[in-house]
Amino acid sequence: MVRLLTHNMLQCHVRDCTNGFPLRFQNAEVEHAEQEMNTEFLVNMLPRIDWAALRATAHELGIAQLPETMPEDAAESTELLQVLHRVLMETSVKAGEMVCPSCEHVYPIRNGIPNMLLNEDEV
Amino acid sequence: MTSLPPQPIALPAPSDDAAHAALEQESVHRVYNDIAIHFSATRYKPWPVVEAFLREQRPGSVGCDVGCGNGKYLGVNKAVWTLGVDRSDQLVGICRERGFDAVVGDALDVPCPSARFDFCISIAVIHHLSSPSRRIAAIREVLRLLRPGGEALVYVWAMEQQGGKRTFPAQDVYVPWHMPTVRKPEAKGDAPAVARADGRVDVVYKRYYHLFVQGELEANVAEAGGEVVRSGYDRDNHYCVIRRGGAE
Repeated sequence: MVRLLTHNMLQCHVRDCTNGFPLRFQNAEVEHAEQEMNTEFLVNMLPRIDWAALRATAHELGIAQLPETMPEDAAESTELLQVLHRVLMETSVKAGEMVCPSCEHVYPIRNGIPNMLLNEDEV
Repeated sequence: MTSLPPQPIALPAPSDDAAHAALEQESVHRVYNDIAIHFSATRYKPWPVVEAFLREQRPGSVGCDVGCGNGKYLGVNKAVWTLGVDRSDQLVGICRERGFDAVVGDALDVPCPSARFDFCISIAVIHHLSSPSRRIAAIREVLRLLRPGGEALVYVWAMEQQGGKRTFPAQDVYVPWHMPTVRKPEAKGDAPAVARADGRVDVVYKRYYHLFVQGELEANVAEAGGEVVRSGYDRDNHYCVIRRGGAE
Protein backbone atom coordinates (compact mmCIF):
# COMPACT_ATOMS: atom_id res chain seq x y z
CA MET A 1 0.00 0.00 0.00
CA VAL A 2 1.14 3.53 -0.57
CA ARG A 3 1.07 5.39 2.71
CA LEU A 4 0.52 9.12 2.34
CA LEU A 5 3.92 9.57 3.94
CA THR A 6 5.44 7.58 1.07
CA HIS A 7 3.43 9.59 -1.46
CA ASN A 8 4.87 12.77 0.07
CA MET A 9 8.33 11.48 -0.91
CA LEU A 10 7.61 10.42 -4.51
CA GLN A 11 7.92 12.47 -7.67
CA CYS A 12 7.83 12.05 -11.43
CA HIS A 13 11.22 11.39 -13.01
CA VAL A 14 10.41 11.44 -16.69
CA ARG A 15 13.29 13.11 -18.55
CA ASP A 16 12.91 16.89 -18.64
CA CYS A 17 9.79 16.80 -16.51
CA THR A 18 9.89 19.54 -13.91
CA ASN A 19 7.28 20.20 -11.24
CA GLY A 20 6.29 16.53 -11.12
CA PHE A 21 5.33 16.76 -7.46
CA PRO A 22 3.08 15.88 -5.83
CA LEU A 23 1.67 13.09 -7.94
CA ARG A 24 -2.10 13.13 -8.25
CA PHE A 25 -4.02 10.04 -7.14
CA GLN A 26 -6.51 8.64 -9.62
CA ASN A 27 -9.02 5.78 -9.06
CA ALA A 28 -7.61 5.53 -5.57
CA GLU A 29 -8.77 2.72 -3.28
CA VAL A 30 -8.09 4.16 0.14
CA GLU A 31 -7.44 1.99 3.16
CA HIS A 32 -7.21 2.86 6.85
CA ALA A 33 -5.13 0.77 9.21
CA GLU A 34 -4.78 1.78 12.83
CA GLN A 35 -1.33 1.87 14.25
CA GLU A 36 0.14 3.04 17.50
CA MET A 37 1.15 6.68 17.46
CA ASN A 38 4.74 7.64 18.28
CA THR A 39 4.70 11.33 19.18
CA GLU A 40 8.47 11.89 19.25
CA PHE A 41 8.78 10.20 15.87
CA LEU A 42 6.04 12.37 14.38
CA VAL A 43 7.33 15.64 15.83
CA ASN A 44 10.87 15.01 14.57
CA MET A 45 9.58 14.05 11.15
CA LEU A 46 7.58 17.26 10.62
CA PRO A 47 10.44 19.24 8.99
CA ARG A 48 10.74 16.52 6.29
CA ILE A 49 7.10 16.75 5.23
CA ASP A 50 6.09 18.83 2.25
CA TRP A 51 3.09 20.44 3.93
CA ALA A 52 1.43 21.89 0.82
CA ALA A 53 1.55 18.52 -0.94
CA LEU A 54 0.21 16.69 2.09
CA ARG A 55 -2.61 19.20 2.54
CA ALA A 56 -3.63 19.02 -1.13
CA THR A 57 -3.56 15.23 -1.16
CA ALA A 58 -5.47 14.83 2.12
CA HIS A 59 -8.09 17.18 0.73
CA GLU A 60 -8.33 15.45 -2.67
CA LEU A 61 -8.84 12.08 -1.01
CA GLY A 62 -11.37 13.55 1.41
CA ILE A 63 -9.30 12.41 4.38
CA ALA A 64 -8.71 15.57 6.35
CA GLN A 65 -8.63 19.35 6.19
CA LEU A 66 -5.20 20.58 7.19
CA PRO A 67 -4.34 24.23 7.90
CA GLU A 68 -2.86 26.18 5.00
CA THR A 69 0.62 26.17 6.53
CA MET A 70 2.15 24.04 9.25
CA PRO A 71 1.39 25.83 12.54
CA GLU A 72 4.44 26.96 14.47
CA ASP A 73 3.21 25.15 17.56
CA ALA A 74 2.46 21.94 15.63
CA ALA A 75 4.78 19.94 17.89
CA GLU A 76 2.70 20.92 20.93
CA SER A 77 -0.73 20.36 19.42
CA THR A 78 -1.89 16.88 20.33
CA GLU A 79 -5.00 17.23 18.21
CA LEU A 80 -3.03 18.18 15.09
CA LEU A 81 -0.47 15.43 15.70
CA GLN A 82 -3.28 12.89 15.94
CA VAL A 83 -4.64 14.09 12.59
CA LEU A 84 -1.17 13.94 11.06
CA HIS A 85 -0.64 10.44 12.41
CA ARG A 86 -3.91 9.34 10.83
CA VAL A 87 -3.13 11.01 7.51
CA LEU A 88 0.55 10.06 7.17
CA MET A 89 0.79 6.67 8.83
CA GLU A 90 -2.70 5.16 8.93
CA THR A 91 -3.99 6.14 5.50
CA SER A 92 -2.81 4.35 2.40
CA VAL A 93 -3.81 3.76 -1.19
CA LYS A 94 -3.82 0.09 -2.11
CA ALA A 95 -4.75 0.41 -5.79
CA GLY A 96 -5.15 3.05 -8.45
CA GLU A 97 -2.71 5.35 -10.19
CA MET A 98 -0.44 8.26 -9.42
CA VAL A 99 -0.38 10.80 -12.25
CA CYS A 100 2.23 13.48 -12.85
CA PRO A 101 0.65 16.93 -12.65
CA SER A 102 3.12 18.20 -15.20
CA CYS A 103 3.66 15.56 -17.91
CA GLU A 104 0.66 13.31 -17.07
CA HIS A 105 2.77 10.13 -16.89
CA VAL A 106 0.82 7.41 -15.08
CA TYR A 107 2.47 5.33 -12.34
CA PRO A 108 0.25 2.34 -11.48
CA ILE A 109 -0.36 0.92 -8.01
CA ARG A 110 -1.16 -2.79 -8.16
CA ASN A 111 -1.51 -5.12 -5.17
CA GLY A 112 -0.46 -2.19 -3.03
CA ILE A 113 2.83 -1.83 -4.91
CA PRO A 114 3.56 1.37 -6.81
CA ASN A 115 5.61 0.88 -9.97
CA MET A 116 7.75 3.94 -10.46
CA LEU A 117 9.71 2.52 -13.41
CA LEU A 118 9.51 4.21 -16.80
CA ASN A 119 9.79 2.82 -20.28
CA GLU A 120 13.38 3.06 -21.50
CA ASP A 121 12.77 6.00 -23.77
CA GLU A 122 11.38 8.22 -21.03
CA VAL A 123 14.23 8.01 -18.56
CA MET B 1 28.23 -30.59 -4.01
CA THR B 2 28.93 -29.33 -7.50
CA SER B 3 29.30 -25.58 -7.32
CA LEU B 4 30.17 -23.39 -10.25
CA PRO B 5 32.88 -20.77 -9.63
CA PRO B 6 32.64 -17.09 -10.58
CA GLN B 7 33.57 -16.48 -14.22
CA PRO B 8 34.94 -13.35 -15.83
CA ILE B 9 32.76 -11.46 -18.30
CA ALA B 10 33.70 -9.28 -21.25
CA LEU B 11 31.84 -5.99 -20.86
CA PRO B 12 30.35 -3.75 -23.52
CA ALA B 13 32.20 -0.47 -24.16
CA PRO B 14 31.56 2.09 -21.41
CA SER B 15 30.02 4.41 -23.97
CA ASP B 16 27.33 1.88 -24.92
CA ASP B 17 24.86 2.60 -22.15
CA ALA B 18 22.05 0.64 -23.79
CA ALA B 19 24.22 -2.49 -23.81
CA HIS B 20 25.02 -1.99 -20.13
CA ALA B 21 21.33 -1.66 -19.35
CA ALA B 22 20.62 -4.84 -21.33
CA LEU B 23 23.36 -6.72 -19.47
CA GLU B 24 21.91 -5.61 -16.13
CA GLN B 25 18.40 -6.55 -17.24
CA GLU B 26 19.57 -10.05 -18.16
CA SER B 27 22.06 -10.73 -15.36
CA VAL B 28 20.70 -8.69 -12.46
CA HIS B 29 17.04 -7.71 -12.71
CA ARG B 30 15.61 -10.83 -14.35
CA VAL B 31 17.66 -13.03 -12.04
CA TYR B 32 16.56 -11.31 -8.84
CA ASN B 33 12.92 -11.58 -9.87
CA ASP B 34 13.35 -15.30 -10.58
CA ILE B 35 15.22 -16.06 -7.37
CA ALA B 36 13.39 -13.56 -5.12
CA ILE B 37 11.80 -15.97 -2.66
CA HIS B 38 14.88 -18.17 -2.30
CA PHE B 39 17.12 -15.10 -2.13
CA SER B 40 14.94 -13.51 0.52
CA ALA B 41 15.10 -16.63 2.68
CA THR B 42 18.88 -16.31 2.80
CA ARG B 43 18.89 -12.57 3.58
CA TYR B 44 17.67 -12.03 7.07
CA LYS B 45 20.55 -11.12 9.33
CA PRO B 46 21.40 -7.41 9.29
CA TRP B 47 25.13 -6.66 9.07
CA PRO B 48 26.34 -4.99 12.27
CA VAL B 49 27.93 -1.92 10.65
CA VAL B 50 24.73 -1.19 8.74
CA GLU B 51 22.61 -1.80 11.82
CA ALA B 52 24.80 0.58 13.84
CA PHE B 53 24.47 3.28 11.17
CA LEU B 54 20.69 2.95 11.21
CA ARG B 55 20.47 2.95 15.00
CA GLU B 56 22.50 6.14 15.32
CA GLN B 57 19.98 8.10 13.24
CA ARG B 58 17.86 10.53 15.25
CA PRO B 59 14.34 9.30 16.10
CA GLY B 60 11.88 10.57 13.51
CA SER B 61 14.51 10.57 10.77
CA VAL B 62 13.29 9.84 7.27
CA GLY B 63 15.55 7.63 5.16
CA CYS B 64 15.75 5.93 1.79
CA ASP B 65 17.08 2.42 1.21
CA VAL B 66 18.15 2.38 -2.43
CA GLY B 67 18.10 -1.24 -3.52
CA CYS B 68 16.21 -2.43 -0.44
CA GLY B 69 15.78 -6.01 -1.63
CA ASN B 70 13.57 -7.99 0.75
CA GLY B 71 13.42 -5.12 3.22
CA LYS B 72 16.05 -6.55 5.52
CA TYR B 73 16.99 -3.12 6.84
CA LEU B 74 13.63 -1.34 6.69
CA GLY B 75 12.55 -2.40 10.17
CA VAL B 76 15.89 -2.43 12.01
CA ASN B 77 15.33 0.93 13.72
CA LYS B 78 11.67 1.37 14.59
CA ALA B 79 12.24 4.99 15.63
CA VAL B 80 12.99 6.06 12.05
CA TRP B 81 10.98 5.73 8.85
CA THR B 82 12.70 4.29 5.77
CA LEU B 83 11.34 4.15 2.24
CA GLY B 84 12.61 1.19 0.25
CA VAL B 85 13.24 1.40 -3.48
CA ASP B 86 14.05 -1.75 -5.46
CA ARG B 87 14.09 -2.78 -9.10
CA SER B 88 12.48 -6.16 -8.39
CA ASP B 89 8.69 -6.16 -8.06
CA GLN B 90 8.96 -9.58 -6.44
CA LEU B 91 11.27 -8.30 -3.72
CA VAL B 92 9.16 -5.15 -3.22
CA GLY B 93 6.18 -7.48 -2.82
CA ILE B 94 8.02 -9.23 0.00
CA CYS B 95 8.65 -5.83 1.64
CA ARG B 96 4.95 -5.07 1.43
CA GLU B 97 4.00 -8.42 2.96
CA ARG B 98 6.22 -7.47 5.89
CA GLY B 99 4.39 -4.17 6.29
CA PHE B 100 7.22 -1.98 5.00
CA ASP B 101 6.96 0.99 2.67
CA ALA B 102 8.65 0.23 -0.64
CA VAL B 103 8.23 1.10 -4.31
CA VAL B 104 9.51 -0.44 -7.52
CA GLY B 105 12.14 1.94 -8.87
CA ASP B 106 15.61 2.20 -10.31
CA ALA B 107 18.77 3.17 -8.41
CA LEU B 108 19.89 5.18 -11.43
CA ASP B 109 16.76 7.32 -11.40
CA VAL B 110 15.23 7.29 -7.92
CA PRO B 111 11.61 8.53 -8.05
CA CYS B 112 11.98 10.91 -5.11
CA PRO B 113 12.46 14.66 -4.83
CA SER B 114 15.92 15.97 -3.98
CA ALA B 115 17.17 16.76 -0.50
CA ARG B 116 14.21 15.25 1.36
CA PHE B 117 15.94 12.45 3.28
CA ASP B 118 17.91 12.56 6.52
CA PHE B 119 19.84 9.43 5.58
CA CYS B 120 20.23 6.84 2.86
CA ILE B 121 21.66 3.37 2.63
CA SER B 122 22.64 1.43 -0.47
CA ILE B 123 23.84 -2.00 0.58
CA ALA B 124 25.19 -4.45 -1.99
CA VAL B 125 23.59 -2.59 -4.89
CA ILE B 126 25.92 -0.49 -6.99
CA HIS B 127 28.24 -3.42 -7.59
CA HIS B 128 25.51 -4.68 -9.93
CA LEU B 129 25.99 -1.70 -12.25
CA SER B 130 28.23 -2.57 -15.12
CA SER B 131 30.06 0.64 -16.05
CA PRO B 132 31.98 3.20 -14.00
CA SER B 133 29.69 6.02 -15.13
CA ARG B 134 26.57 4.09 -14.07
CA ARG B 135 28.07 3.33 -10.66
CA ILE B 136 29.01 7.00 -10.22
CA ALA B 137 25.52 8.03 -11.35
CA ALA B 138 23.98 5.78 -8.66
CA ILE B 139 26.14 7.43 -5.99
CA ARG B 140 25.10 10.82 -7.36
CA GLU B 141 21.46 9.80 -6.93
CA VAL B 142 22.04 8.78 -3.31
CA LEU B 143 23.70 12.14 -2.62
CA ARG B 144 20.88 14.00 -4.38
CA LEU B 145 18.32 12.51 -2.01
CA LEU B 146 20.10 13.76 1.12
CA ARG B 147 19.08 16.95 2.85
CA PRO B 148 22.04 19.22 3.73
CA GLY B 149 24.02 17.50 6.48
CA GLY B 150 22.48 14.10 5.79
CA GLU B 151 24.67 11.02 5.43
CA ALA B 152 24.51 7.83 3.43
CA LEU B 153 26.12 4.42 3.85
CA VAL B 154 27.19 2.53 0.73
CA TYR B 155 28.40 -1.09 0.81
CA VAL B 156 29.90 -2.96 -2.13
CA TRP B 157 31.61 -6.33 -2.62
CA ALA B 158 35.38 -6.22 -2.40
CA MET B 159 37.80 -7.80 -4.82
CA GLU B 160 39.94 -8.52 -1.77
CA GLN B 161 38.17 -11.31 0.10
CA GLN B 162 39.31 -12.40 3.53
CA GLY B 163 39.07 -16.02 4.52
CA GLY B 164 39.60 -17.11 0.91
CA LYS B 165 36.18 -18.60 0.50
CA ARG B 166 35.90 -17.01 -2.90
CA THR B 167 38.53 -15.85 -5.32
CA PHE B 168 37.59 -13.72 -8.28
CA PRO B 169 39.34 -14.07 -11.63
CA ALA B 170 38.64 -10.44 -12.56
CA GLN B 171 36.82 -7.35 -11.30
CA ASP B 172 33.86 -7.92 -13.61
CA VAL B 173 32.39 -11.35 -13.12
CA TYR B 174 29.33 -13.54 -13.21
CA VAL B 175 28.76 -15.07 -9.78
CA PRO B 176 26.56 -18.17 -9.80
CA TRP B 177 23.40 -18.44 -7.75
CA HIS B 178 22.33 -22.01 -7.21
CA MET B 179 18.57 -22.22 -6.75
CA PRO B 180 17.39 -25.61 -5.59
CA THR B 181 14.44 -26.87 -7.57
CA VAL B 182 12.48 -29.73 -6.22
CA ARG B 183 9.58 -30.01 -8.61
CA LYS B 184 10.98 -28.94 -11.95
CA PRO B 185 14.57 -30.01 -12.48
CA GLU B 186 15.07 -28.47 -15.88
CA ALA B 187 17.24 -25.70 -17.22
CA LYS B 188 15.64 -22.24 -17.45
CA GLY B 189 16.63 -20.49 -20.66
CA ASP B 190 20.41 -20.42 -20.58
CA ALA B 191 20.61 -21.10 -16.85
CA PRO B 192 21.90 -24.67 -16.71
CA ALA B 193 20.62 -27.37 -14.41
CA VAL B 194 23.34 -28.78 -12.19
CA ALA B 195 23.06 -32.09 -10.36
CA ARG B 196 23.73 -32.01 -6.63
CA ALA B 197 25.47 -34.71 -4.63
CA ASP B 198 22.14 -35.59 -3.00
CA GLY B 199 20.60 -36.25 -6.41
CA ARG B 200 18.45 -33.09 -6.52
CA VAL B 201 19.00 -30.51 -9.19
CA ASP B 202 19.83 -26.79 -8.90
CA VAL B 203 19.12 -24.22 -11.55
CA VAL B 204 22.17 -22.00 -11.77
CA TYR B 205 21.79 -18.30 -12.49
CA LYS B 206 24.58 -15.93 -13.37
CA ARG B 207 24.56 -12.64 -11.50
CA TYR B 208 26.73 -9.79 -12.73
CA TYR B 209 29.07 -8.13 -10.19
CA HIS B 210 31.73 -5.48 -10.42
CA LEU B 211 34.12 -6.07 -7.54
CA PHE B 212 35.64 -2.96 -6.01
CA VAL B 213 39.31 -2.67 -5.20
CA GLN B 214 40.62 -0.73 -2.22
CA GLY B 215 40.07 2.99 -2.76
CA GLU B 216 37.79 2.61 -5.78
CA LEU B 217 34.55 3.43 -3.96
CA GLU B 218 36.11 6.56 -2.43
CA ALA B 219 37.26 7.69 -5.88
CA ASN B 220 33.76 7.13 -7.27
CA VAL B 221 32.26 9.18 -4.42
CA ALA B 222 34.58 12.07 -5.25
CA GLU B 223 33.66 11.87 -8.93
CA ALA B 224 29.98 11.93 -7.93
CA GLY B 225 30.59 15.19 -6.07
CA GLY B 226 30.43 13.68 -2.61
CA GLU B 227 32.67 13.61 0.44
CA VAL B 228 33.71 10.55 2.36
CA VAL B 229 33.03 10.90 6.09
CA ARG B 230 34.57 7.55 6.97
CA SER B 231 35.26 4.27 5.23
CA GLY B 232 36.17 0.72 6.06
CA TYR B 233 36.23 -2.93 5.15
CA ASP B 234 33.73 -5.31 6.68
CA ARG B 235 33.50 -9.03 5.94
CA ASP B 236 34.36 -8.95 2.24
CA ASN B 237 32.82 -5.52 1.57
CA HIS B 238 34.20 -2.03 1.18
CA TYR B 239 31.97 0.66 2.65
CA CYS B 240 31.82 4.44 2.89
CA VAL B 241 29.71 6.86 4.87
CA ILE B 242 29.26 9.82 2.53
CA ARG B 243 27.65 13.23 2.38
CA ARG B 244 27.11 15.92 -0.22
CA GLY B 245 30.26 17.77 -1.16
CA GLY B 246 30.89 21.48 -1.10
CA ALA B 247 29.98 24.14 1.42
CA GLU B 248 26.63 23.36 3.04
